[in-house]
Amino acid sequence: MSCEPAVPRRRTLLGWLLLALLACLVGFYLHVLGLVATPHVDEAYTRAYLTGEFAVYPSSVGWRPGDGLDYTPGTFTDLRGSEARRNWLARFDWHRVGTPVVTLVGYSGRLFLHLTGEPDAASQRHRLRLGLVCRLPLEHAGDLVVSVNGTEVARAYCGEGLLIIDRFVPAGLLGARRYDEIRIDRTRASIFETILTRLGFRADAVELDWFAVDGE
Amino acid sequence: MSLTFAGLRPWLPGGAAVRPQGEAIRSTGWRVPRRDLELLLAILVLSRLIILVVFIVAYGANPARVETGPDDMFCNWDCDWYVGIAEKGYWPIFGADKHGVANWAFFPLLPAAMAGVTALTGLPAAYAGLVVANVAWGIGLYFLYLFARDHGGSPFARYASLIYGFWPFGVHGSVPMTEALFVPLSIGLFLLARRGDWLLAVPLAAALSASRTVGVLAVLPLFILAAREFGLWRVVFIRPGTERAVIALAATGLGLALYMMYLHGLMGDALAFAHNQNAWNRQFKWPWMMLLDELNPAFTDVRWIMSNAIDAVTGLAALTLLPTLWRRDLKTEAIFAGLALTAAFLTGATHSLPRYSGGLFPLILAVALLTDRPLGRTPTLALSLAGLCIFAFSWAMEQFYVM
Repeated sequence: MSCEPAVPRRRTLLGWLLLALLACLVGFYLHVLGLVATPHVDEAYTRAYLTGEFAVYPSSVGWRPGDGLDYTPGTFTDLRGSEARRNWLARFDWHRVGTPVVTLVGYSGRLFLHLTGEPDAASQRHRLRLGLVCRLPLEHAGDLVVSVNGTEVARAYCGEGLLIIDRFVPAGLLGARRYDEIRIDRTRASIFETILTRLGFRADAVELDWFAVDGE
Repeated sequence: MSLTFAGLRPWLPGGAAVRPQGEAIRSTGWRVPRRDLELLLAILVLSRLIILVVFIVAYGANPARVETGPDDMFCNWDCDWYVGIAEKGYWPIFGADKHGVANWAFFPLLPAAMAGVTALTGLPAAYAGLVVANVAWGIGLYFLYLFARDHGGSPFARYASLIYGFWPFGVHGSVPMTEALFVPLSIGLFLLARRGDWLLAVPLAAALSASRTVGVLAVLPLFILAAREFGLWRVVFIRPGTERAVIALAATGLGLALYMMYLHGLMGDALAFAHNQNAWNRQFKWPWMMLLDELNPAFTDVRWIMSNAIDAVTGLAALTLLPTLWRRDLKTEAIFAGLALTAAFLTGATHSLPRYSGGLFPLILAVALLTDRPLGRTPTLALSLAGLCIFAFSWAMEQFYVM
């Protein structure tokens, strides 16, 4: 017994209409794909949502001067408060192991700042100070490299104990971007170490306690 | 042209003539006998009544909530977001809070329906959502009865309807949550597609992806159903007679695409609903990485580990039901549920896994199929009823598991 459904051999008028509708749908989908490929968003949105670099969304209605990523040179910023940490630390590299402790795991971390209150910030020389606590056993100790907007500005040994980095940054480096990036990397970390730390099998880490940027 | 390779035959048949026995799509019509109609009405009234009574008990048991108004009895968790969208629409690009949380993550079908009911009746949005949810739930019950009758006859349809009526996760379909539309729409879509009523399926297919993003995943099982009915290559090349099925397949993305176009106009990013997931602690992760993170005392507060574990176990339990669907000739429904569960397991967080799982109608059918035996029915219904009461109480008390 055949169960073959009644399928017409020639296309009916309804069929042609549906084909036309299908063509319209395909055209519409292509249009939407075009919209997907051409977002009209600002840098804050891009870094908060698309690349995930910002732990805050600086374009939000909750944005206030001094809040989130805004930073006025000369301000000593203690990161021991959980709110301050949430505001200042980048989303991916800094892993929050409970509150209020924020530790640098994966051997890499970033701070994003939007310098305010300096009309000529881009031409100024700045002094960068970072207060860190190193908790790296001897076999995992190594150099910490500090870079500003991709340019290395300091390198210091990080083992066990406090580490203060105090360096002048070349003029024009800080304030050159809408959001400056200060990156701290431990040079000796292997991929294996990074994986173990991300999975929580290792607790050795670096903690950023405070920072300050002073205009000269 | 037809594929007759033995292993692919059940999947990619060249026409109905090679459809294996038992896979036949048959319709038992739209009419419901008086006796069954009475049963459906009883399920409808009784289940609504049980949920309402439990809500009132929970509301009374928590004096702290009384001050917030009676709508807080049923409108918790995401419901507040849907009410906000129904009342004030989607936020502009600057509307997110400073941690990035915004309402773009919530799909528009439910709030649009709520706003429509509000405009027609003047009801506040939360109560309008309640009307939408419960009317849709009743339609879903009817669709499920027909689907189960097509598949297993009237006795099974009655039993499956009872399971649907007292399904613990049915609480999400009784309050203003997007599952209230997603579940009935998905049942209706598969019912119509299996019956070959492709033109009727078009609006449901379009609406499904406007209710939840995983609605768009229905395209693959629908394609398989179409290929079974007309033959793979006839569908691929849109031969005469297959246009109805192809337009239904194409419509599965329409709701999502319209929402994307709206978001691009509103704030410049057509994928804002997906990008905003970051702020909700959802990002792509392989399931094993998600479980390692969510169950790891180094990363997760110990108090949450047990909760995360229960959520994960629920999701895994849902996966174990898929083979039942597969064996019982509901392969396309198994694929739909499997895809939706896979998507849920890739979102990097275990929370809401129970809701995502409980909102997949094939799993309701799987439970009904598994327990449809003399010694299985009564205990299952009793457990289901107890679960519904507990879940409704938990919902009103804002317990995390039912989120």
